[in-house]
Amino acid sequence: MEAFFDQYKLWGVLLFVVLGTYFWRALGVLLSGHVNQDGEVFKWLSAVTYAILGALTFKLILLPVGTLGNVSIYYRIFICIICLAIMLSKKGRLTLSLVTGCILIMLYDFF
Amino acid sequence: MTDINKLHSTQEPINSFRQAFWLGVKSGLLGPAPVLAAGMLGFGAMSHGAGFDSLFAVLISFFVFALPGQVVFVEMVTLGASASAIAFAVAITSTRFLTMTLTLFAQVPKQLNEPPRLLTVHLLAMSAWTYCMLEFPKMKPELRHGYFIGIGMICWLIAVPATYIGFWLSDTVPVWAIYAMLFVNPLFFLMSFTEVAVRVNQIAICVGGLSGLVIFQIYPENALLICGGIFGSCVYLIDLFRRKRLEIKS
Repeated sequence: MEAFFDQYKLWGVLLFVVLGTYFWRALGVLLSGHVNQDGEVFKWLSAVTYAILGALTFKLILLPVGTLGNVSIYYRIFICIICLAIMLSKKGRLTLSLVTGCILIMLYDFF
Repeated sequence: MTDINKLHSTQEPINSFRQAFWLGVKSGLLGPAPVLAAGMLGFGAMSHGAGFDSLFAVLISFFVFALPGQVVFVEMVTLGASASAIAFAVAITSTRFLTMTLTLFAQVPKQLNEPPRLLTVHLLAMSAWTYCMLEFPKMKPELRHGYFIGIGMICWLIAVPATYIGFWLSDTVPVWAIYAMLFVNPLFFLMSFTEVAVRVNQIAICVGGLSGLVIFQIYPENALLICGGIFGSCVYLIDLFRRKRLEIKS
């Protein structure tokens, strides 16, 4: 597999990423109505997926690489707290919390 | 959100697939598409930062169309992970599509002359899925596939140019705008976590996130896989033991 990736570099990775993503979508279509979606395998896969997404999100917010790293970590945490407060205050406030977060992080450059 | 009841209450013939499709497009434009577009703008900016070319970034959005997986891809390339680790991590991240597809298509009755599901399933993303799951109970089963395709199609069609615009903007806009473009995706994921209902998944997010802060410093290339594979599995196993003990007690 690595030899294939060495030859085709990122395009090879992209091919496998596309297939790896589509595989689960297609499998869901084929199995729809035939399997119990509350089974243990699904519970395990969910926990693994959420752990990956949790790690990715915390990393992007707290240990970013590049331009975002110029913004103070305390300020990034402050924005997250504000946005979470908005999000949890009432259902359906995703857009409002995202807009608030974006405005707050843009303001950092003017301090 | 679009008033589905309006469509539902009128005596539409069962074959009004087109009407359901356009209702889905309208719902998409008013709901998930702008949020997804913001995420894809951010993804385009991230891709630029990772050193991809614009065509490559656009093709990722076109063919993968799964923002978390796309961000995992870019982040792992930036950290210098091996190609097989990247492919594996993205595939693992995409396992949520299995549950999403199972729950969505179970509510859509098969019809003659419907577009092939193995093709339309590519339009499935978290945003469209959430809307469909909310709206499906309010509409006739025969119209659901059309609605799903409409909402999924508009999200997909917006995602691709948004990626390119994000890529292009990251080279031309001031730094304060780049901050917003780079921050919107992690913020979106964080906000989405507040809607995760199952306790074990909430714990997995926290454990994965906190362990990641340590693991990224030690094994940056494979941190995501370690956090998911080891810590996510541990959370699941602890929950399994807890449930078994409760079963035995009762």
